[in-house]
Amino acid sequence: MKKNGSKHGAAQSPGMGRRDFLRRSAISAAAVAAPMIVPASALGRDGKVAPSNRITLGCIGVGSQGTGNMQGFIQVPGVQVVAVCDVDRTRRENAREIVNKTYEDKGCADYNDFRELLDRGDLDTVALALPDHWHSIPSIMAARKGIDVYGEKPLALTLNEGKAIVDAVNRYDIVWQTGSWQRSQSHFLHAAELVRNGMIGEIHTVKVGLPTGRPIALQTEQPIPAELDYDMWLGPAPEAPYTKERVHWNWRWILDYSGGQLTDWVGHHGDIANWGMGTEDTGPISVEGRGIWPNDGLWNASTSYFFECIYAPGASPVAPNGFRMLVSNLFPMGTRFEGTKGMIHCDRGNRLTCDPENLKTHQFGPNDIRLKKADNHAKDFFDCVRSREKTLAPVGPAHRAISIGQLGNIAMQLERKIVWDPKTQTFPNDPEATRKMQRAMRAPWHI
Amino acid sequence: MNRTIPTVSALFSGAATIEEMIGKIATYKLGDDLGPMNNIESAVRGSAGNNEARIAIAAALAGVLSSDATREAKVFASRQLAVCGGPEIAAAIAPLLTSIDSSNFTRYAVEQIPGSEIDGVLIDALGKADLQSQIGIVSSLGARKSAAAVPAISKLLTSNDAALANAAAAALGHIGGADAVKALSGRVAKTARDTAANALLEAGESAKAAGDAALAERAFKEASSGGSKAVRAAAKRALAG
Repeated sequence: MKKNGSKHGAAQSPGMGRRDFLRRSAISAAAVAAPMIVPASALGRDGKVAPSNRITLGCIGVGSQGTGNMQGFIQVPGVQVVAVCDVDRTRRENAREIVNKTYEDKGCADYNDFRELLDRGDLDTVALALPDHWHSIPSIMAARKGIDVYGEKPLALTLNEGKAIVDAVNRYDIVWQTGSWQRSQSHFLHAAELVRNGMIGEIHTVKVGLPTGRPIALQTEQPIPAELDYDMWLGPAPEAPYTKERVHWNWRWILDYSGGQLTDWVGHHGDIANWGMGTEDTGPISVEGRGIWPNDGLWNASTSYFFECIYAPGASPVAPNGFRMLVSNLFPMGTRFEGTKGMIHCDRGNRLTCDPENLKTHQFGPNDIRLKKADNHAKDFFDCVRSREKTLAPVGPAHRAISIGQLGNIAMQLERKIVWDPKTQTFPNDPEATRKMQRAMRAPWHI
Repeated sequence: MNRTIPTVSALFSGAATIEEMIGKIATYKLGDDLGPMNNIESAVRGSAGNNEARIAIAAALAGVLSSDATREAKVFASRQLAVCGGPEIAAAIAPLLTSIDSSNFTRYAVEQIPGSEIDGVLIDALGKADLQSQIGIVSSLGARKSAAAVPAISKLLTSNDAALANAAAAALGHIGGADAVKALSGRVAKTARDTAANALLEAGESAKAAGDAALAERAFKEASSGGSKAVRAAAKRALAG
């Protein structure tokens, strides 16, 4: 699907917006018979989508997660990966070859600098799979260009960056899908719907079990590999000597680039907690806890953590008296809802435990609350790009899910209770906590 | 939690003075023992609620930024200052803002410190700084929502350097208010037009949230008059909403 006004946009009529075009194309592909002189395959018949109707995709960040995502996107009918970007030459060339081999051509472009990719002018969508400290800038730049985004969780490194992403997505009305793919699995949906419909009564406690973090010994400076643009990798983060234990994958354990296992996984199980509780557009009113922070090696994100979030009465429709959310690596993995009439615990691997047990097979009636269902997370994104409907994992809930982890980290760093206003997203009368809502970006980067 | 600490030196384990502990981090390189850093970090945490201790530690850490310490030590000091620094370090860090060799870690130290003293040194440095530092300073002033910086930042909207003009426009959007909207509505470098339009939308949203419907409408209308198709569509939605 080429963009209106671009040099590839000949199929669009003047004045017709890209979104109108996408929507109308989706309708016409199903409803209009094609002239016989045009090959059926070029018009979306025999299971294929005409090139002019394809959704163009650029993949920014093609390490292990990004490449895995990209290979999933390639399989979605009607999606064409036209460009890849990574600051590691080896990775981007590998991704480009995968794309070209799949399409049996050499049409995939590759970039070191994501700004050049965003400036192509022919992109409908981008997929971002970057270290957390690189989430906000390209997300906001893409939104300003009207490019729809599939963005990996956690949404952002800091509270303010997350809010800025939400604002940009809403301002430009782009489609956003977060990589919180657990929502696309039926047992998580079933668990959330059971809770929402009051099947275990009023909820008083939610336990979110996440993985334990990792420490590492002291590391010394190493030569920067020739294939890596390390300055670009650092981007807005503070300058730091190179060591391989800082970059690919390992950034997860360093607070300059991430919030540790906590913020990585709270975008999954914390998100499911919010989904079930109906707290996707709010947050706790106070947070308090303790963490263990490694201080004898390179990695410094908490390895063990336990914190309590208090939600006000009425924040959740199924907790009229308020509830507490406990987040820790000490709990069994997954999300556990505890109510006045029972308990529900869901986790990966199709694990769903219910008390009473017959809730596992409960059939919902026509008057019950139902949540959006989508079996294929990637496909849901591209379906929504065409329909302009809301995705299964929109940006607002992604922000509120990661906020739980960010607030937890701040409370544990300050070693005291913090009071949060979920409406204004501020720490009232707490300048110490307020300082931790954002960090100065290394020039020339800013949002 | 009671955070009152009787003396400054009591915050440091096994050291009589702040200077001794600060001296131990001056040669820090990646891979060195983190003991001295941990000691300082602990003292910084412990100084919350003890203004005398906080000021003493912050002054010593600010001294590291302008010393011959390693860059790793300076970056470490800037992280600690981001936690414990106050307006009293403004004069000490001011000269470090003008060169890109030191402005990044200096801004990291002070960007989140509230108060007009920090605003003042940032604004003052704008006129003396190299280009990259200017971009960073403008961004920090935007992040601080410094209304006092609007006149100085507005002058940079017409910069021949696209990155600086864009940073200025973005900062004015973050700051918002009538003066920022007025500046963004006037002469903006062509290369920063989309950023300026986005900034107008952001400023308009802030005005709307604050109940100033007239300013919001003015900002949205101005944004709708130029910029990319995406920006104009966003402005149209904002005006309709």
